[in-house]
Amino acid sequence: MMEILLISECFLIIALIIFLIASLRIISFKSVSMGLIGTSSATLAISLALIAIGTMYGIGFFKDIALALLVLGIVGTIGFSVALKKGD
Amino acid sequence: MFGITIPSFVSGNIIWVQAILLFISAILIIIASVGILRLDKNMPNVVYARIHILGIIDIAGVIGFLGLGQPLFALIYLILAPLLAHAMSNAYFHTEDDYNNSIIKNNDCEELSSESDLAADCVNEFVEEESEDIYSISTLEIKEDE
Repeated sequence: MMEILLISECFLIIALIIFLIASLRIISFKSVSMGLIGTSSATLAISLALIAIGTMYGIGFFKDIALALLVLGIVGTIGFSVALKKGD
Repeated sequence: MFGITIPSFVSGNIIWVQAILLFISAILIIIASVGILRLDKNMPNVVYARIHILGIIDIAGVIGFLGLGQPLFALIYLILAPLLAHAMSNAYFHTEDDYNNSIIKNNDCEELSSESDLAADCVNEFVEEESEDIYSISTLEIKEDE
């Protein structure tokens, strides 16, 4: 019964690796806004992958890292967007 | 969980539900990733289209967090993701969107016209747009007089 959960977590990690490649492609565009979009999506992918890996291997502090990365990444992206809008 | 003992048949079904949620999340992420990579970068409003596609990945992330047994992460991201998308699109509109934002378009035309003569088309388009606006306003005035 536990094998199906392990298989689904591995499948999720593979999907997240594909998504990380796509977000790196987005970051490589020359526009500043595309860099913002790419980094925010990469933040989500990395935090989700950290939780999946921490669940698979039983590493507890990966959850704390993922929480900090998720919240601070989003707040930083929103702050940079506001600064970009006002600073122009 | 929360001091409640879960029967064995319920916990077995929970594992199946978690696996199904993770599969759905992974499939949505793969489809959206391929969609982002296949999007034509020369089409107008492509940044808004990419932000729109990333909305699917946001919801896939929420489903993935639920499947991994982290409802707090799912709640936080469900609340913050729309704010994030709006902030990014708002910043793009006010700084780099020369297709929809007329202020940026006019500034670009003025800069080009002051530097060289290559921006004649841009200035002509701007003048035509202004003349159309004047014409439409004048017809309105005639109707009001009648």
